[in-house]
Amino acid sequence: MTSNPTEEAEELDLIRAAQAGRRSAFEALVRRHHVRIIQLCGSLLGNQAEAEDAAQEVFLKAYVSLTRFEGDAAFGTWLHRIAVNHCLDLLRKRARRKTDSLDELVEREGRAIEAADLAARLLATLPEEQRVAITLRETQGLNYEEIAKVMDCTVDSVKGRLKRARETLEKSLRHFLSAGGV
Amino acid sequence: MAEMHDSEKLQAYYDGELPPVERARMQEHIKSCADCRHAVERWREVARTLLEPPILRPSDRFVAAVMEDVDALERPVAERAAWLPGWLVPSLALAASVLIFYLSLPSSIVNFDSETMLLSGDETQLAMVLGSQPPRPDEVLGLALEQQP
Repeated sequence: MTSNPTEEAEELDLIRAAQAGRRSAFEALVRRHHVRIIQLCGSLLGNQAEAEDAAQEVFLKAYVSLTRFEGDAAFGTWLHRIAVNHCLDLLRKRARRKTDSLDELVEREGRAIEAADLAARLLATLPEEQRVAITLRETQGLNYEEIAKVMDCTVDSVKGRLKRARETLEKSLRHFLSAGGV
Repeated sequence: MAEMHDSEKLQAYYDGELPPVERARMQEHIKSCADCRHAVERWREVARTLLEPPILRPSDRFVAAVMEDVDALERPVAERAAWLPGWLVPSLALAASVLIFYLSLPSSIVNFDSETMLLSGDETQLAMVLGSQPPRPDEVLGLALEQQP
């Protein structure tokens, strides 16, 4: 996220200009944030191929709602919130399609299962709010307060979600390793 | 120093959320507490195995593609419809006008239930069900009248 005051002031100017309809200002904002948003989409979806398409839709949604951005949170936080909601929608749609359980996958593919696939499947076993919290913390490096803003919850909730996510992932990973995976 | 097992504080230490003084104190504690040290190592292992940020190199066209979407949104509707096949435009217009006409009809006309129309007693509706001219009552009741003494 934006770190120093000069960058923040510069970003605020870009946001105001983009809200006033200056195309180049919005383009500059996309340039600033696109790598992190693509990475976030990739982490949440567990599918790199879909990450760019999802991120593209995120920026379009941001453009459409740009006039509603009032600057009470950082622009990056706001974009993260849009990205999280968009990816959760995609995941819910995807969840309707049946997939193999992790145990079925290990039985079928044995040790050949790829680390990225394993990560995606174990993360998918977490409740949404834990999955989002741990992804924002570990892959995006957001602090507790930023995560709370993105997820619209308290810092204490963030701590609880991270704790439960880590406990579950630890157990799942141990179970997977003892079953002979990776 | 090994008495401290505050898991919330330990997690805050791991996540880099402790202020410097507390962080230093926790670092000292971890050196002498195997339980806390192992907990931190397990979290690191989980993060390394399952949560490594994906190494993504966005395509060079990404920003341009987003801006093309933005431009498409800004284009006037007529211009946006230009991609439609030529034959489809009049067909859509015709379909829309039929729909508007249908919706503008009074609900009594739109209701084509012949039983309701017959019972309505309205001559126009009777004509629609029975023909251009409503039948005379004696035509409908002919049989009954003939049977009367």
